[in-house]
Amino acid sequence: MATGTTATSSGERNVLRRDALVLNNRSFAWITNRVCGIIENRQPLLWWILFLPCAALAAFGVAGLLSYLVSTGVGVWGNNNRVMWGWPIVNFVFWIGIGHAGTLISAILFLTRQNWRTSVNRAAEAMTIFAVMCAGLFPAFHVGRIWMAWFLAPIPNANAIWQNFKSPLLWDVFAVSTYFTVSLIFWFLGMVPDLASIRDRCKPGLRKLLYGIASLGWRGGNRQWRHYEMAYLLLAALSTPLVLSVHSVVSFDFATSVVPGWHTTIFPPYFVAGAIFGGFAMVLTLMIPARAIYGLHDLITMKHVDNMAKIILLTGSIVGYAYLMELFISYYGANKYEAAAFEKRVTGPFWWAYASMMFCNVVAPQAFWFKWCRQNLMVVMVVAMFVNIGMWFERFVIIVTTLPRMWLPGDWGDFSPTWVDIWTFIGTIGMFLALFLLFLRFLPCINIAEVKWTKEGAHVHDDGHQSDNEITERQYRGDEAVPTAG
Amino acid sequence: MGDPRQTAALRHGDAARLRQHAAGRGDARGRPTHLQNNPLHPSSSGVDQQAQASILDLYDPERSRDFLKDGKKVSRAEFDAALAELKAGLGEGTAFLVGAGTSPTQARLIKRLQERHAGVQVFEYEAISDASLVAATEAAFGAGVRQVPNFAKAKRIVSLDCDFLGTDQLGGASARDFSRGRRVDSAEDAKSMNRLYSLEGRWTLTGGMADHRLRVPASQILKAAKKLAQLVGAGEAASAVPGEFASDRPDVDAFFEKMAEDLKSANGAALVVAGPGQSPAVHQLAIAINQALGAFGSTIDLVETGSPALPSIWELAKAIRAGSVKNLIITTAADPAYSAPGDLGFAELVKGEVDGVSKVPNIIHLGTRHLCATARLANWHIPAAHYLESWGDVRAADGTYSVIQPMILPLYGGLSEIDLLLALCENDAEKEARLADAKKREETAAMMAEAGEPAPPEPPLPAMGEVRASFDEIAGGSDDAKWNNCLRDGFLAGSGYPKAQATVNAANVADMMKGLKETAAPTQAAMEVQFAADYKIFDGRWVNNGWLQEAPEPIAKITWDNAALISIKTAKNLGVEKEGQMVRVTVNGQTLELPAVRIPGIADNVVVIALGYGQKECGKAGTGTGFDANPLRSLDSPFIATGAVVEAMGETYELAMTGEHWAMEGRAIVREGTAEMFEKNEAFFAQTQGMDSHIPPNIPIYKPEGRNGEPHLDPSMTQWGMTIDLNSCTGCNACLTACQSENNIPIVGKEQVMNFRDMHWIRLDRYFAVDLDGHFEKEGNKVNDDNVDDPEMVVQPVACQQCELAPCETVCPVNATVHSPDGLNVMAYNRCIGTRYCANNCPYKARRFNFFDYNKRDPLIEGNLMKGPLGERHDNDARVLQRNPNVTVRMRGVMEKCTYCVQRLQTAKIKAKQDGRDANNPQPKPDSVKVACQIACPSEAIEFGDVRKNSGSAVRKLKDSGRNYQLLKYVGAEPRTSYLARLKNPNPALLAASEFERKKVGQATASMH
Repeated sequence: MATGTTATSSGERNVLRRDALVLNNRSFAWITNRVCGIIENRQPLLWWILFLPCAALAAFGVAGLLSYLVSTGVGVWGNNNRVMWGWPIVNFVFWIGIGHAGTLISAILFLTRQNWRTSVNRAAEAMTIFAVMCAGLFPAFHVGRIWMAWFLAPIPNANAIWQNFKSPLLWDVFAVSTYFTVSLIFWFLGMVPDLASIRDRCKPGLRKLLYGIASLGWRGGNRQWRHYEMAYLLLAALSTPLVLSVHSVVSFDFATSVVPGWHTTIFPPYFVAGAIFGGFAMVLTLMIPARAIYGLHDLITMKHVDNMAKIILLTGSIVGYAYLMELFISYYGANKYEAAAFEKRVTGPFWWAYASMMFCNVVAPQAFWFKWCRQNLMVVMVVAMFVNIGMWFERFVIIVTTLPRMWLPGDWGDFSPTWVDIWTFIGTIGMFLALFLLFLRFLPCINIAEVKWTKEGAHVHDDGHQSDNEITERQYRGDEAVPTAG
Repeated sequence: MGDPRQTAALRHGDAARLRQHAAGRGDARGRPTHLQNNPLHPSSSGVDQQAQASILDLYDPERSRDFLKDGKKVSRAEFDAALAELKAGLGEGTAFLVGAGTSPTQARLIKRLQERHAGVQVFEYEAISDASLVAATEAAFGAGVRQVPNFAKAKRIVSLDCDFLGTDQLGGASARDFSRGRRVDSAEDAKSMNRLYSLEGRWTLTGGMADHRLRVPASQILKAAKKLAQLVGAGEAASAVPGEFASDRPDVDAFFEKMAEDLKSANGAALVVAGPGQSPAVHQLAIAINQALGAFGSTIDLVETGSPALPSIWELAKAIRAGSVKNLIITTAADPAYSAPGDLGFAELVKGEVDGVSKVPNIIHLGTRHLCATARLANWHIPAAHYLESWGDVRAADGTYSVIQPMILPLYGGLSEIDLLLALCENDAEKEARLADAKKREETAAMMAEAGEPAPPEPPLPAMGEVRASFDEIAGGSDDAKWNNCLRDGFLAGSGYPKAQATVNAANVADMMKGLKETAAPTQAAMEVQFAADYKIFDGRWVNNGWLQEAPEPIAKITWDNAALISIKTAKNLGVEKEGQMVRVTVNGQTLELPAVRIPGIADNVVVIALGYGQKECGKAGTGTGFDANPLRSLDSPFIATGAVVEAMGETYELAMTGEHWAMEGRAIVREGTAEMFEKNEAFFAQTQGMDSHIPPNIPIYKPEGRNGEPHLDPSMTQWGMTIDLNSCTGCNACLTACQSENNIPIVGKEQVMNFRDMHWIRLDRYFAVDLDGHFEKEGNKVNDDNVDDPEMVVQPVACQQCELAPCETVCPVNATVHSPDGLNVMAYNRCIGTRYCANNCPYKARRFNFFDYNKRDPLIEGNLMKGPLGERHDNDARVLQRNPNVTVRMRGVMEKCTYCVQRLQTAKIKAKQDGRDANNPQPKPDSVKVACQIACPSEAIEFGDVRKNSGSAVRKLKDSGRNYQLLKYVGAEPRTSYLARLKNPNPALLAASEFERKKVGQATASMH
């Protein structure tokens, strides 16, 4: 393994070097060939083995069961008069949280010039889009009369009834749709140069036509690059507050209510941290296998994995702090209802959900204090899976363990999901994975253009300034041996 | 909204109970859709749950509608032929089995029948009756004499296992008068509050209202009565009772002594009532105690009804055994083939399945249910008309005469009991006259038709003629004006029974007390089983009524089932660990397996089982509900069985319970104090209990005002509000069913209740004052404290509180729930898309969501709702006729909740505008609008009206009372519904003598801060 801390024995600069972002000194052509090759070559059998069941699950769980839901009533889910929001909103918050890493990687890391983002940002953004699509299904379909859902849109109507702008749910509608729109544009815009590369490599035909349309006449000229980079920068600046706002707004659904256990000011930062936490875990969950399947080890390196593991450790600790702070405040606050809500979470009938959440989200990521764990893909995968599960349980704990036991014990109830709940959720996982596999199949999964920027050779006017790149000039010229990735 | 002038006297289906008097509401088309009481009637006291629900039976598509011969449909003509044959053989060998009734017309017709056909015998049968009370009264005071307790005058009341506020109604307006005696508006009232001691082994609503409740197994009540009798100076009557009362409570002697002293010092304003389920000996002791306390003439009226008790089913069984019954005509609604005690073997007896007894050759059953055991064993079944379809009459407990007028023609062409008796009575001369009349009318009609004129009006029904004749007899002469008044008012004023002399026939009483045997107190090896009338379906006659089935049983909160209710200690001893665990009860040689439910406060080693369930093929709603305990009963002691062996079993039965939790969890939700506390400081406890009562004021971020600062609430309009007096509320469910009837609330079926999707807009939260350290689980409450043995029980009706700063309103994204200028939190169903956020944010959990199309798809067919568009519909049967035309029928996907009966408020406003069209901003008069739950409440616990400071309304006065408090004030939602704290009136001498009572009475929330 490249360690990044070794000083060269004979180098001009005796400094700590960063890990290489592209290993093995791969050339520009190699990068283009490797990434475009994924699209141009036949898909490995494994792609089909993964895609077909996922597509089938999506068809059954999403198309099938949501049709059943609309034709029959929300009662096919487990929601009841005590727990009006059950699994659907748990799943909504879960997916929308996952949809956070993508834009964070693309926008915030772009603005902060974190070059390591370039090999993972495209896939992370795609993941964001698909996760938000899965997320959007739930609030849309969980309403009792989806055919009237257009009431949520501020369309002038004969009834002269406007929306209720006091409602966090309406804020949610705007927040999520804005986030989805901006993320989609950002994702697409970033892909234009790469789509043009694919177009240029295609034989004439339908494929070329479609990629041609999608690449918006990109020729790679100076003016185009100039405009492109400015547009990308502006979109990054626009997306950055959205990363923070979307999940803050989602948390307002809970925080602005009067429900004990929801009505807390800690929710917005805690939700945002949780979303980044869960989002990065999902990026790892997807990228580690994709890297192996498509042989992208030189582009998605252990450095990337290591960085993401560190973010998981950081955000996981923030989340853990929030959990403990909630407990402390409920104890310290002398509010009976609040104290009871948290007591019920920890020791009530859903204690197992709380314990799972605590273990998966707080205990499991602590492994990432240890470098060995961050460097061991098996450990990283296991921890990432724990986080995925833990973040679902977090939302389950917030929603399902709170609502059945609120203010008046005389009306306390219970909740259990139905098979439709379970299979709709599994269906969205299928849909998410199927869409991601289609993305791998048809779109450049690594940002070809930007990865190249991180290479020394991209700096055509290099004046000897040592940028955040991976190897020295001497190494580049071959005067000095490049340490190989272990 | 219907015209309340279109009235009918409403009769309960079950005849053993008080005949209530109510006005039915016809809608614009004149069909009855909702029942209200007749406020003019002297014993008008709300409309109880069964009476409310009887309107659903009127439109029940499964109601009997065909004449059946051996279970097969036949034509009316065939039945008429059979009737003619029966008539020819009337006389010796013909027996009637009628329900307990006070209809003068029925009595007259039976008498006429017996006169015309000598040898016709009449027996009376009710599964749950006051026969032992009647027997004791007649033995003591003479045939035809009845006791009518007067709770209005009673200041000190002892209930010996008598649920006079619940299923054991004794006559008069007991709930109303009892609650009026507890109404406390000022410190002065608190001094004159009545005091109730309740001795019972089961939990009753009456026990819940009691100031002092002593757990006494039903079988030990006789000895307890003896102890009391000795202490009040009626020991002579008690001398024949063997054994002495014993209890494991160390302060029991003090309890009895202080209670007796309290009764004696009441100067004749004391009253002891015994449960109809108790033996005649207990009732004799009650009479003796009352006599010693000077209750007769004061708190008990003795009336001369002139109709002595009829022979019982026991006598009928003897006659059948003797082979002397050839024709048996069953008109009782009590379904004897199902409900008669097991050792009578009624069904086997009439079918000739008992050795040496021949079959009763001809059994005719008249009833509204053909889906009952008696109809099935009968040769002939006659569909009975609903009481709202037929003429009839009834006398209240005090004798006040009421006429029952039909509000609608028989939907399915049924006959009433009077119609049947008339047909059987009719002699040849009458028949000829009738035929001649009909012929003449036909001729006249033909003549009129020829002349192009409308046909002459239909002649009055013969039944009406008979009712009129009865009226004339009671009114003392035929007077059209009086008759019309009676039809208008629903009753004949001043038609009470004459008073009877309170002279006890000592010989008869001594005879009745002879040969009593001592019943040992129940032990774990030999438990006691108490069979109780069900709070919902009574003796089972309402088994197919979905409203009643789905209403939660007021104490155990079970829907769609019954269960074996046991105490916590008993459950521990038996090894019953969760609600619904099956137990096997073996008693009187019969075994029943049924689920057990733990209830804190039931006497130990006692199993309480409600009757009426476990009927076979009794309709969509009833089939498959509960467990039939009738085979365990015996004729000698139909309501108490001793020596039962009870074992816990492994398996668990799924019960649909709506409120399994017991404790208030340290939250002062139902606030309670004592009369003494109130006297000292009227506002003290209601304003200091719980964290809700001492929080800083709430500052809302959203001000209830418009864009230009104009307030949302219009001070020139009536501002609606409600108070619920927890001192009066017994938890009887009348409001719940009235609301269901008024507001088109669907039922959802057992499966959906188990999923917590019940739809009731008003629910009754029941708490036990236990200090539970456990928490709610599906398996039940973890029990780790001994104070759950004998706690207080408190009840609280909760509906939408119509908050002024409603948390539900701010969160609705589409403005589907908003505030009206008169202070209502209104729901726009058409605007609702069903995000359900409002319901999450409702602190009271008062909102109900239509998870399925309950109004369209039948929830009573298993799995039907899950079939969606393929499910079977039920919006095309007669039940839709019951719907209130002024209330939207909600579709799936929308939220609903209590509206304060907004349709009534709108009607009142429109009327006010019509009446005062020239006035500026006319508003309904204060207290002129009454909402459905308010009217239905038998104990007048609900007040509704204008809450503006200067309105002078009744509700305003109550809101200014020191007992007034807001539920969950902590939330700061400013609810328009508020509660009046509960007051207990403990006996100070008893408190001084008993630490247990001191810690318990009035202390449910006393220690909560």
